[in-house]
Amino acid sequence: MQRSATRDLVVGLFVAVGLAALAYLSFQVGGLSWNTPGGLTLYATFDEIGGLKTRAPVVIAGVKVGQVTAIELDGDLRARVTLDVDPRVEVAADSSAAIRTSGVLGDQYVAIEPGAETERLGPEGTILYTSGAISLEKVIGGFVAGLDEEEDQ
Amino acid sequence: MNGAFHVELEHVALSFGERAVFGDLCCGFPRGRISALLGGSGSGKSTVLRLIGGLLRPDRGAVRVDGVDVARLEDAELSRSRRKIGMTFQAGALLDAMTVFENVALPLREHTRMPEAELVERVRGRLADVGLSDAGDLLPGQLSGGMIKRAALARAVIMEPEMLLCDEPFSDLDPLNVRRIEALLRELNERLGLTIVMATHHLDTAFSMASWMVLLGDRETVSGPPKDLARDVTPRVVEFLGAASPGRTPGAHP
Amino acid sequence: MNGTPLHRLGFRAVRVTADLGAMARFGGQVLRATFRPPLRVGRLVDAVYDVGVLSLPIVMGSGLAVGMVLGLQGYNTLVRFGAEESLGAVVGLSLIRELGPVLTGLLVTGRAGSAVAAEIGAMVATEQLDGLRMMSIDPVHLVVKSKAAAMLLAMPLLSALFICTALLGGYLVGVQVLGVDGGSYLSSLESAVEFRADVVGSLLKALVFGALVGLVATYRGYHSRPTSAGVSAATTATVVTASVTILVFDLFITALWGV
Repeated sequence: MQRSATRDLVVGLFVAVGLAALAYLSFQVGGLSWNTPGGLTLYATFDEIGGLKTRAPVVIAGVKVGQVTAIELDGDLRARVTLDVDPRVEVAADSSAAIRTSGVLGDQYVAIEPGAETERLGPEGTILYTSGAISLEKVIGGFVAGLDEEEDQ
Repeated sequence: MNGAFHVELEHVALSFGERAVFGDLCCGFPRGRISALLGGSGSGKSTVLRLIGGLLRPDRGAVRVDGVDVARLEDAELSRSRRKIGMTFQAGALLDAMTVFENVALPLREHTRMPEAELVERVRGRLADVGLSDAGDLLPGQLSGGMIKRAALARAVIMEPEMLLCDEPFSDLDPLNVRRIEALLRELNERLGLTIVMATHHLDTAFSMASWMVLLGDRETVSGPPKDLARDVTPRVVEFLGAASPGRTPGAHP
Repeated sequence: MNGTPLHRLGFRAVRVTADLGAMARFGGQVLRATFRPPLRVGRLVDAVYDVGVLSLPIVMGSGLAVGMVLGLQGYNTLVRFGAEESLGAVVGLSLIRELGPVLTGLLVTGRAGSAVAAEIGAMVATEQLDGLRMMSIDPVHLVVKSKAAAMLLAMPLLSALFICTALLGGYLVGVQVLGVDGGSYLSSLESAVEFRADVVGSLLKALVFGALVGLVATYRGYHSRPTSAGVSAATTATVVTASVTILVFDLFITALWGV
């Protein structure tokens, strides 16, 4: 065990490469982002959020503009979702929010469809038009029920 | 027991599992003198040194160094007690991953804030004292048996302790190196007034160097100046002293 | 040991528990020594070299092999469902969540854990540690803490390198040999793996395993019997204890974290 400058260099290299591997796994593969767009807080209330989780992305036209920061039940027993959105994005007052699934079996996210009004939603604004998550079980259940009905007829 | 003794063992009993090493050991080592701790293999010579150093605790009895029972000390106080003691081990116990210089410098680096230049000078001085000036950069694995023992000695005295415990300082050495170590120990004792306790079965050297001897035995321990032991007619003592150097009268110079 | 088998079992159980307690106490000692100055960075660097750098060949070699096997096995299974384009996700998730930290832990135990135990055990046998004590130098502080800390620090790095090499292995087999689309491999990998749920858990496991191996190896070495048989026993005990402990803790962490 000799102290030497080469050994220090090698250890430093090992640590650097190891950290690089960790960084790759965290950011590139794991999707950790350090530049989370955010600042503008909006609310949207849904009847059914399905598998939506906090930190799920908020997307407009397929582009991520923010994330879900909180999910709570409100007084009417509906799910109130708090969205943290990039303030540079202008969200029209009559925009609608929907919960969609990425792919058939993927994670759920909130998609905002822009409205037509010129008036924009300010901080703490609420998106009025929402459509909840589509539950796969209900769809299949409905389909099967429909088949049964056909058979009965 | 009087204050002339630097170390006193009082009614010490110690067993390792089922094996009893001491039943009721009483002995002492005088201050400022060279003492030899004698006994057959397994008689507990190394154990006595470890008791003095606090590496082992007795089942019963007291081990007094400067009047203080080291067996009852807690870590911090034990640490302080050890600063005044230097110990060499049979195989040298040098850290095999560090050079000779670094080994000897270790106590200074750990316990003092000595500036580097002064530290280097002190270490070099000690290495020169033991005749290892050229070996500073070698690793223990590259040293001969004699060199290892000398390096260990340098390390044990670098902090200028009051007492030096040596476990088999002469074992595995050729006659030339035995003489060297003997001369070094004598010089340390004379120059620094160091109390030296050496556990050894090198009887010739023990008799020529020591002014006090302790002979450990199964049932009893014999202590006294060398000439008393040489004249002791107890069969056990005679057998031990005679068997080790057949045909020679202990105490006679080589 | 005499007495009925029940006696012996009871005796064993008590001994194992006492052993765990002693290990925990030793762990406390090492922890206290770690935070007491001096930091001994030089020794830490040396230890990271011995534990980390010298383990690289076996970790990355095994990583490549494991990745290739995963690629093969994964493909064989997925192709039955027509889902072979998701190979990246399957290989990646298996590696990141389980195989990376666990296999790295076991490999490092065998290579570096046993080496550390043997090294410290040899120091006990040659009275080097007693020599330190007699110089009022705490052997745990001078010798042990750097080795334990190095194990803790190196494990996540080695685990990450294992995973990346294995992903490459999976890629080589899946994409180059079996014809999975390279882009699909990477994109399914990236969309399936989540930082919080997967990567953080993986990192946590690696850190815990590093701490465990560091503790077990230094404990066994430090308390080994001062003979060559004792050192050998300490080395094998390290590998056995550390391996079992890794697998048990893997279960706990997976159950508690991976929801």
